[in-house]
Amino acid sequence: MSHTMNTNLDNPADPALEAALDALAAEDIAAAPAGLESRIAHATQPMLSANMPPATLRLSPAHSATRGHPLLIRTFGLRLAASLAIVGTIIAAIVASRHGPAAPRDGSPAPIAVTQDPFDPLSDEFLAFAWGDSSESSIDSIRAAAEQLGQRLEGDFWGISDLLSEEGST
Amino acid sequence: MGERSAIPMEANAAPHADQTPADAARLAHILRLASEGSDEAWRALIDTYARRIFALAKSRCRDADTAEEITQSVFATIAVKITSGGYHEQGKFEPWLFRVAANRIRDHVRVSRRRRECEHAGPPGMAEPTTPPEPRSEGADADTRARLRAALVLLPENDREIIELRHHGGLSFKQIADILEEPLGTLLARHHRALKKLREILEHSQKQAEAQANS
Repeated sequence: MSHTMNTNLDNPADPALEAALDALAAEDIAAAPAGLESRIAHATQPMLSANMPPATLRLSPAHSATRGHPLLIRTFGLRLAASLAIVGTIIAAIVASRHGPAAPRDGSPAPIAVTQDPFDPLSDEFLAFAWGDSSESSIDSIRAAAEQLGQRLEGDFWGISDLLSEEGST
Repeated sequence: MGERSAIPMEANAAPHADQTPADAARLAHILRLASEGSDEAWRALIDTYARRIFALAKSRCRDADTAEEITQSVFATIAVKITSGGYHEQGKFEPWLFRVAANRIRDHVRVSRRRRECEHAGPPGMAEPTTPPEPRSEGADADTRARLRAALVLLPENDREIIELRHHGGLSFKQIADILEEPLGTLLARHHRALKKLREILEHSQKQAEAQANS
């Protein structure tokens, strides 16, 4: 260690130069724009009051969706509802397409087209396979229930039963 | 949040001095309140340190807007850290704060230098000023400060950092040693050498100025 080096923490090594550097620093401190502190306080206030990092960090692996982020729950709920609606619409369309026109308003029975296609949801084979019961009475009752459901769905979903009834009567 | 904090804290009352135990206790109290979300305590910290950090950044960047941006970014980091438990008070808040500031300034300097190198691919090894020249002001003192500023630009990065932490940051040698993670003796030697280099640069530029005046 050089004997000229400043080993005393209180004594500057080059007093004139250090005084000039202090003056330079004072000039830079004085150059701080007015309202600097207020702007910084305003900008950092949300980080302080949130008492935690911004919301993006809540979605880190440490915070799983099961712990309840409202946005995730809402998104999941909406997706589930949309999926159910699509599936319901498809089922209704299948049932309605197999059923044919709705019953006329005068009370006379509507013609029902029953196919024996093995992939038809209302065929004997399909119903026996699906329900595990091939007895005729059981199949008839299931088919009747499905047809009734189809009639209801057709009336509710498509709104064309009246139109079909009019066409049938003319 | 627009008014100054009512919590009393001496803003750089004794530059380059280590904290007294009373100062340290007061700062620890304010830090605890700020970490619990106290606006007033947070404002006290900003009032105490914002201008020093601004001066440190401005000395390097020479642009007030950039310096304010850096200062704001430093306080944003501090706010997140102290409220999320990322900082544990051990009486070293100032070194920590200024280390964050020094790192942020270094990053900025590195990025701007790279950008400048891309824009003006000059001959290698040429010492270029890292900042635009200061507007010249009137008077002998102003002239001295302008020459000093120009000389600081020519100092190596590490030497300049020590000098700026000491004078613009108002930190003690011990705090600077903490920030740079160096033994105190090493830091004192480096500071001494940095001042010597600065003095030599100033004398050289003085001679050049006199030679130009005579010719």
